Amino acid sequence: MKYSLFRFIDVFEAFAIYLICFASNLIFIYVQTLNLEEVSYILESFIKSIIDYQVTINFFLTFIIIVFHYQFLNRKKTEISCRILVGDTMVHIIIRYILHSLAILVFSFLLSLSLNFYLELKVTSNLYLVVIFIIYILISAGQVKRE
Amino acid sequence: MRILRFFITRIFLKRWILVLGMIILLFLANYLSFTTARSVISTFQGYQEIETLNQEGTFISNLDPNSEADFGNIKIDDTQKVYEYLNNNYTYALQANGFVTSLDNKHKMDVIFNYINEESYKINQFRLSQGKHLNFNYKFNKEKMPVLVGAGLAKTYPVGSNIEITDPVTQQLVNLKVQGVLKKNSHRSNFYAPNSKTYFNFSIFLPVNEGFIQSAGRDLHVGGLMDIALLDSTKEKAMNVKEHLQENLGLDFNFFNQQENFNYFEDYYVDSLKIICTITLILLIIIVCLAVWNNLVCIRLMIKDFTINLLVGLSYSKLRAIFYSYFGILFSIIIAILIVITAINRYGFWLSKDSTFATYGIFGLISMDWMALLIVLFIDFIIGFTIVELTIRKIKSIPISVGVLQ
Amino acid sequence: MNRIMKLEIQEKTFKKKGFSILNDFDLEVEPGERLSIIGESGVGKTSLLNIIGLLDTQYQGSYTLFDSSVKDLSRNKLAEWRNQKIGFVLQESALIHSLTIEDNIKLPLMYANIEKDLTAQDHFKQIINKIGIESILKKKPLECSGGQRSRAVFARAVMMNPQIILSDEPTASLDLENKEKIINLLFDMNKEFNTTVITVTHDLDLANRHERIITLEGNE
Repeated sequence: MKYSLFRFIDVFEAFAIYLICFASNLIFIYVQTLNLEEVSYILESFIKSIIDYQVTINFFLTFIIIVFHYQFLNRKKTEISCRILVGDTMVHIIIRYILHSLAILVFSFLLSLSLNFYLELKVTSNLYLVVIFIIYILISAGQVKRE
Repeated sequence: MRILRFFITRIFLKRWILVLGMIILLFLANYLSFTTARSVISTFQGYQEIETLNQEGTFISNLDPNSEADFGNIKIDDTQKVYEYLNNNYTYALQANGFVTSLDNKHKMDVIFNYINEESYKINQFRLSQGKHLNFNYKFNKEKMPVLVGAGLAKTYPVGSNIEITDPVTQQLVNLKVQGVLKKNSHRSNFYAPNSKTYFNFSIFLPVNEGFIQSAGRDLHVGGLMDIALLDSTKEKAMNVKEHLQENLGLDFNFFNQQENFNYFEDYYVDSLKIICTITLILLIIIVCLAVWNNLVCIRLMIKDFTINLLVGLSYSKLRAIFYSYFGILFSIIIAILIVITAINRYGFWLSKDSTFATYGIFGLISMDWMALLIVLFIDFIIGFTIVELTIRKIKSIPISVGVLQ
Repeated sequence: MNRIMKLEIQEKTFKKKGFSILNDFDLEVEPGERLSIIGESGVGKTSLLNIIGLLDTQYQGSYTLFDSSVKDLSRNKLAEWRNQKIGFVLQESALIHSLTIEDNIKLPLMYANIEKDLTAQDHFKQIINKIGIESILKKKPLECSGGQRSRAVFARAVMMNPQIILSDEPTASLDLENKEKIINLLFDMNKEFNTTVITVTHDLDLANRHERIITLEGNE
């Protein structure tokens, strides 16, 4: 933690946002496995009007992770400057940032797997989101800058 | 106004990712509210239509979903017998929709023939924009059939014009005389999914009388039975029809009375709406929490900018006004996007020549869309108030101090 | 007595942090006076400046400024006075980085709704010429030197011809040459317009150039 740019609140925020994205994707998939037509036509047509835009909604939600990385790195500029002043290097800071971001992502993915098991969905259901998030992390790593 | 412009262009948009994040979240909240509001309004509208049938002595037929129906074995003689029995012993409302035919028209849409008897016509109370209501005492094959046309056909087939066409249910060449034009967006809701509607803008309504029924084919006979409503009847008489249908057609129909329909509505419609509203509320709370988080993040990053402005003369009340105006602008943009998306969806039915869903409306939106938008606007007020007040609270909790700037 | 402000603080308490400062602190200032406030870190110099500058009204005591009790003034009035009667000269970092130097300096004009006013524009030009920052007007703060930024902060503080200038370590991060420039600008304003100058500083040399020095002491 001493070397990390992440504080507890940052880890919590990132973790929560990842979980919201994973959970929303799983719920979309789960709802499609239910035979809602037998339960209620009204419910079915309502759910359908949302599920029709599943990909767009999921993509929109992942944007919140971009917001997280953006604000995080903006807030950490002074800290990055200070770390460099006392002997750290930008390369090390970037590598640590990527690794810590990935660690948070992996942990939240693993936790989301419990929801996969609970809803009896394929474990690969969220993998495409993981790929998107990794891309976000790599892109945001280019924005690690000092004041 | 200048201060607002300054804040938007020089402070908020300088961190455009946060603005975009907020727009996305508010859009999701609005889309969700809009979809829910429209579902509720549409269901309610549908229920009001169905309620006209929820009267003492009215029994609505429903093919038992658990029965196995073999329509292939049904013969025209059997269906003729059923209708003879019904005509002799019962008053009933019959409407059979969805007989597609190709009839030349300005919009190149498929035209749908709907068959309706006098009782059903009285119950539905369709409103006309031109001409006269249907009369049912014509002689089939001897006189021209008086018909009503949907608003989309009014220009091609104005009141008084004649249409010669092979009728899809009798397979006979018939002469139709346009007697009236239905009001734009006249529709009928599905009995079991009242939020789903069939629009009659490209429909032709043909009056069904006993003579017509005798000449009609099996499709109309069987189709008509699906939603047939016995009027001024009793449970016992309804059971007789049920047995008659079972004996002659081998189909197992249920006939529900007013109380049963009401219970059904309670159990099904209301529960469905409750589930929809609960889902929406939960999702809205999550989205609003994310939006509040997004805005607090903005504050974290912009606190220095706010402090400097407060230092040189900005007051909290002005700041509050700026935030309300800013969110007002964001909501206006989002509602405009929502209108465009809805209009595109509605216009899509015209492009795909889907005549049962093609509708007329201001900017392509029909009345239920506008009502849903009004509800969205109200929800936006609540969301906006929540976010702005929490934001101002947060800003006030950070003391404006020269220390923040040093 | 002709005085511009009278401040009597019994106590300024920070409940969350569990301590208080400025216990039984009194201050009276005359128009055109040059006053410096010195003291160790943490004794409440900046907090005092926040109170004098109408940024903080949460304290026990009374404060009369321009013959009005500050506690009776609405938040809007406080904002208006900060805009028109008080100028803050802070360290060079107190600029909005996303705005140009010109936009930063013109901020008070916007809140006074006189941004487009010809007199205000003339006044802006005069100040810019006097301070010598014409060449950096279109630049962003981070593209300027520390000295240039300090002068920009000063220009913003005097843009509305305030009756009081409050400065908090105005020269802390400056070299000798720039430090001298800022001090001269401050005192020129004082002489030319009889502006009251109150400076919080650790720099004894700067403090000694004021007419009166107040030393704040801790509670121990």
